[in-house]
Amino acid sequence: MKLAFLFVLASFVTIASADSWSTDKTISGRIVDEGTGQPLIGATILVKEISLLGTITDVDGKFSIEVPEKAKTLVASYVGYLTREVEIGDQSYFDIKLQMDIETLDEIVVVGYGTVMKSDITGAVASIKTEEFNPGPVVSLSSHLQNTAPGVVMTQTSAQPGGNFKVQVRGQTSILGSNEPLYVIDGIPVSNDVVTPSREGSVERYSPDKNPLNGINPRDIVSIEVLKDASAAAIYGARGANGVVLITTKTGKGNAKLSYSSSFGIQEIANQYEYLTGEEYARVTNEWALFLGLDPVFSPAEVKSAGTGTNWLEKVSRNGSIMQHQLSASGGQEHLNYYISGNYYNHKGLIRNTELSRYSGRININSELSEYFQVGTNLAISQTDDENIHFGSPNEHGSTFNGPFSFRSSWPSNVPVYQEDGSFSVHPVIPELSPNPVSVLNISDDSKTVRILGSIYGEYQIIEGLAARINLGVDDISSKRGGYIPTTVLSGSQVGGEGELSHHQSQNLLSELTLNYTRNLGSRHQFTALAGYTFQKFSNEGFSTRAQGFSSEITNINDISGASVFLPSSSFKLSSKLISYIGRVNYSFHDRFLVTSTIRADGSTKFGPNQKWGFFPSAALGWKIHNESFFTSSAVEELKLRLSYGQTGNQEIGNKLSQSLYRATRPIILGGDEQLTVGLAPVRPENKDLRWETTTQYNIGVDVLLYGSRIQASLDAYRKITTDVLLQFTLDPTTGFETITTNAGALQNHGVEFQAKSINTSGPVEWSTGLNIAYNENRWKDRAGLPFSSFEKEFGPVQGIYAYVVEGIFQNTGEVENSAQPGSQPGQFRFKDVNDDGQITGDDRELVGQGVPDLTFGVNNQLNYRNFELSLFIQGVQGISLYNRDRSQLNNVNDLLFGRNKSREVLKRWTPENPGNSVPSGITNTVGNDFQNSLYVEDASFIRLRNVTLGYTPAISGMSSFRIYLDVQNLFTLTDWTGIDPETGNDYPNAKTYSIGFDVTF
Amino acid sequence: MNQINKFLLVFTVITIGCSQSLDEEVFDEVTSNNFFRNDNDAITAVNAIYTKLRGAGVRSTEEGQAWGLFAQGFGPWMLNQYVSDETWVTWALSFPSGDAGVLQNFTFTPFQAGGGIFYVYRDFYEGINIANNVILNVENNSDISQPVRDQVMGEALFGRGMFYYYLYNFYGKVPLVLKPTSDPFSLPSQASESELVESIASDLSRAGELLPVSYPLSDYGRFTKGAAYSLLARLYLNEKRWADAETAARMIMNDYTLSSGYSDIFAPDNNGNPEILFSVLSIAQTGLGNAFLAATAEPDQVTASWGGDRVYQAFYESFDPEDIRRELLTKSYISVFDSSQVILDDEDGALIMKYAVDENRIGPWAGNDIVVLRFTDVILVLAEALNEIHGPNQESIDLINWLRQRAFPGNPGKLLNLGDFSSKEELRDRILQERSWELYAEGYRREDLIRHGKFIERAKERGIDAGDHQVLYPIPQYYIDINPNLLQNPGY
Repeated sequence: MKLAFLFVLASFVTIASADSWSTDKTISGRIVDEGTGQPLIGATILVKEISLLGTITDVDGKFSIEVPEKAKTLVASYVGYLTREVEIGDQSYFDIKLQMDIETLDEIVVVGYGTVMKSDITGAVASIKTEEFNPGPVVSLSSHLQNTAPGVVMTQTSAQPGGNFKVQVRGQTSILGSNEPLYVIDGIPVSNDVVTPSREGSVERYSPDKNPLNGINPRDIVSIEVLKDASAAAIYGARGANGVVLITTKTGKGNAKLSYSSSFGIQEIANQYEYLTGEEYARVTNEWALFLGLDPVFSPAEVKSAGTGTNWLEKVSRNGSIMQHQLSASGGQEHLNYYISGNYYNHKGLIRNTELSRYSGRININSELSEYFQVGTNLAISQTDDENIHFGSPNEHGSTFNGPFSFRSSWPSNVPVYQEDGSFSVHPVIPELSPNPVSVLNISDDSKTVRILGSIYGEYQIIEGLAARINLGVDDISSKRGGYIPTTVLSGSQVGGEGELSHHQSQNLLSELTLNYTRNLGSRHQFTALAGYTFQKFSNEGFSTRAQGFSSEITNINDISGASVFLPSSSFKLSSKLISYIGRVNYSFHDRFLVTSTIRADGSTKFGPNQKWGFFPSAALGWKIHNESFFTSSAVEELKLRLSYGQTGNQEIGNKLSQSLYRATRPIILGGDEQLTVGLAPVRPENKDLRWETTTQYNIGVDVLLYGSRIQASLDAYRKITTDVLLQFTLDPTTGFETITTNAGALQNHGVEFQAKSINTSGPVEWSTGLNIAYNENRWKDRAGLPFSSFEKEFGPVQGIYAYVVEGIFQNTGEVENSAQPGSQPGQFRFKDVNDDGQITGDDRELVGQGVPDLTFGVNNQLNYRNFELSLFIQGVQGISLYNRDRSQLNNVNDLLFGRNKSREVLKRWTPENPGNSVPSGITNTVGNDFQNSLYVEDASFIRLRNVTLGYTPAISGMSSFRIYLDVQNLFTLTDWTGIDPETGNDYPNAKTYSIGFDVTF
Repeated sequence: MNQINKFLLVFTVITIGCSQSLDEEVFDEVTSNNFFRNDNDAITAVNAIYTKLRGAGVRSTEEGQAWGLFAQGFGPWMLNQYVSDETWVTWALSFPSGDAGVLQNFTFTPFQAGGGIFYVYRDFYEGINIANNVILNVENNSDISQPVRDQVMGEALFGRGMFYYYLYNFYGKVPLVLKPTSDPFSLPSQASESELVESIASDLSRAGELLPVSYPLSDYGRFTKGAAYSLLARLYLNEKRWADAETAARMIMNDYTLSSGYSDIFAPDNNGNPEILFSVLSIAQTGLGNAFLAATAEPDQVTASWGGDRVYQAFYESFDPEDIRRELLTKSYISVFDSSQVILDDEDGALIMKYAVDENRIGPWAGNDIVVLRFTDVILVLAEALNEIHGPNQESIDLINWLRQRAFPGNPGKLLNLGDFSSKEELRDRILQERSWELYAEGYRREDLIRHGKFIERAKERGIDAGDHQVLYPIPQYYIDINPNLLQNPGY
């Protein structure tokens, strides 16, 4: 399967044929490079007045075309060159010279605290431009990063509207701290912590967090840069170890433009399980009861009448829809440019009562007040409204009792949704523990998150080449969440309704001062330097309160004074500061050798008193071989070698971890009048030496530009070693603490990344391909005494999954007697005795996979034919295994008498009459029943057609551009995973999204 | 260059203006530097011990919510009951590998210990650390007044003694840690049996000296002198140190009395019942109530119940039908769903209705305080100790009759006579039987059976494949993996 994407690529051959036209005149000519006079092969000649008429040049750059009378103008174009128009007049032969488009060849790339020309980059930086963004209806910029840059692995953790993503740049560097990159939006490093009050820690009200980036409108973004190696990221010091994602929003230029775009999409469920029908369920339950020597649960009549039963998923879901509108105005004159936008986004999810709406606005203004003084502002405000559902809590067996998805574990299809009197049916075995999955949708749980992200800057040129810049930024997020469990839901009925109200606020203030100096010494030496000071303060606070017994279900949590019982409230307040000094020097010699060196000193309040300051240096070399006189190649236009070394850190761990503190306990009752009382108990041991994790990274890379800029490619190899890895060391229980946070281990990542863009054909049919592949290997390097389990491989993969290896199922007592599991019964798993000691113990677990992919790739094919364009984006994730929680539960009949649901796989389970090797009998083994066994750890690799877009751009008078498109997200997925979706977990169903949209600019 | 000077001035001003201390500010937790400064701090610190008594050993989340199938609220309960000849749980049949199943079927192993065996170990050491921390910071702290120091020390010593009592009882030899750990990475070895017994005895007797017999209303629910000596007496009894057991029991014989009615002890208003030496106070509120009845009553018997916990039919039948203590067991009830009468078959045993229905309960959470230690136990401990020392004797008989008088009101014919018992063994067996009738389903049974050498024998009589080594629970392998200095109990 790993190579399947190559087939996809190879099979992507389209043959285009040109239509014939009635003609009056034949014209011919030749197209050459203006500078070299070299012929341009495959350049396009179009007749401007007739949109479908054109041809391409041959190997000598020659062309010939028959044109009708009304043809007046020829348009010559070639990738990497400026398009040129030529009047036809009476001429019949044309010698057209095209000029290289310098801008496209040497684009500007944003790096930390400045920009550089792409050709001068010495580090590993991936730059993602608007064209590569996901064209579908997406709520966050995270979708733009999905497999578009090599080495950036994005995993959507929940398919709910606005669901969160997990992001890793060049592998995992931290066990305990964050592995998410640092996000810097228009120069403001933002915290990517979830501010919206969470339900993640809550047992019955569990609801996965949404993506904190949902408040940022992705349509305002012009480019995303990912700083991957230490040379690029070290300027962000103690926050750079996981890479840095720089987000730049749009600025206006040129004539005033007014743009409007809109799209509408519908969603359907991509995939679902097959559960036992009502009749099958009743039958299997009776068989199991008989097997245990108990009475049948269902009478023969009940079995017969159960029929197909309830399709629970159908009852809790609907077709989703996504709608968005964006209106923007932009323009730029000599001393002022502006970009103003407003956006509305609405996503009604596949599960009823899940919805996300976002209203956002942005103003970006830059103004030159004088020749020396420039000021500007970027300001964005958004409000995100989420309508959430309670997923219910995964219990130790991985199944849920409480949420709308509890049918996966607990609500078999032979139970109807409603009772005869119209009320919700109750669970047949555990009526007081598991609420009806449909009833749970009556719970309301809404959040409203307002984000203000803005900065102002002033830049002053002190002398020629020396500029000072002050930048003040704020990222203020305020979020309220209120929920109510009405009495129509089981847990609400037991307490007279229960409401919860929370409010969280987070503020991030930035002030920074930088000095930039540029000097050319003669024509050979180019020198720029940066020095700066930055100060950032993060504060978070919030409260939460819960109450029960509401006098009115109408006002519920909106009038909390109507409650009769107040449950313990909670509040918190946290603060941290980061003080930093930064420096960078870039030196270029004769445009051949490039040197970049940076240093950052970070002082953080988060770490122990002995370890407040960290220093993070980096150095990089670049060699533009193509500028050397000895280098002559007509095919290779650019060849650059890059080498870098540097250190970055990770300080993204919780606050207060270095201190021994006392925290309020859960309340207890004391006193004859039964008052709630709390105690204060020690929460953690002290650690004065707690410090940041340090990542040392080496990178070697090469960039090439080939064949008239038709092929651009980069290859990077790196090794990343993270030391002082913060570990939650499990302590002996006698210490009174479960764990201590301590710098103990070392991790290593190494890998290779390849990225290429090529123009395969030009002419009437223009086909271009973007390809990126990354391979990363992640292992332990040192665990500093953190014991390896006896079965674990020393220095194995960090996300290694160790499990008992299922060799089959015992078919008879003879097989049991000859095995290492003498106490077993036929029908149980037969495990591999790995250490051959004649018994199955914990030591017989083997590495059966790892929870992160080692190979990821993305292939983007774009076809343009006249006014049509078709793009296909294929995403591939390989070498990842996951525990299939649902399956281990759904095909094990052992808890059937609890009224649990089962998949149709149990029809193939082992019974004395029906022996087989695929599904065990249900009598559980003493070890290795679920996540510890290799049967349920499945290959979760996949190749997915993430999106297909067909666009049409007709020329319409009165509009400067108009485009209409159809887009399908997630059309199909190739995978061996037997669960619902290999990427997004098992709870919220994954969607296929079909949408139609248009963009118009005046 | 004037501009540069101006600029440097601005730079300096901003840099200094922004200069900040890198000391971490803490707003929402208390640091060690500003704690244990006054009486209130000491009381707040010792209060934390009580949180380990609710939901200990049953938690599924970090906060240790008192929820789950074992929401009786006191973790050791299930370790003492599900393995006994009194109580069983239906879930153990339909889900034999569950937390209850491994206990009832004696299939617990170091690798499959079930939640109870796993969590009690960890949670009680957390309680011990809280107690050690209080003792270290309060014992000689002159910022705290003497009366408060005595009270708080008494509570902390009792807490530590009680936690070790149960750890020793369940797991046998465990590490003995009596100070907050200075090195969090330490991996202590197990203490010997005698070291543990001496430490527990010392803590409990010191606590007995410091703690009051009872409290004013505002402090009701704290550990009492009676609680301390009742545990101490039982510790000595289990150790077969009969004279010490007698001495400890006699320390409180004149301090407490029996409740006039048997069912009052467990009623929703049992707060303040004279017989209760220690109870976990409960109110009808989520996570703070008593969910015992919800675990014993059938779903169609009492709303918001899930049921499953029962007594064996044989135990039900062992009662004298006139014994009022049996009235808290039932073989039939009226369904709240369709008003039909439900009658339990023999194989279904009898339902435990010890904690009477609290009409004000919230969901499963009732306001009946969870009775952990009561005076009746001390009476029978003393009766047993005296029999072991002297053989059948009048005082033992009188002590038992004290309870039987209440159990058979106005029926003096049911009282025992010294002449009925010809040997020490005969009275010993009778006391074991009487303990069960009196204290059934209250978490005493396992250690009683072990003391009488009948624990494994009774399990085998129920048809269970139990091994002699199972008088001790295994130390969960998880903890041995962390601390290789721990030796597993023999037989596992």
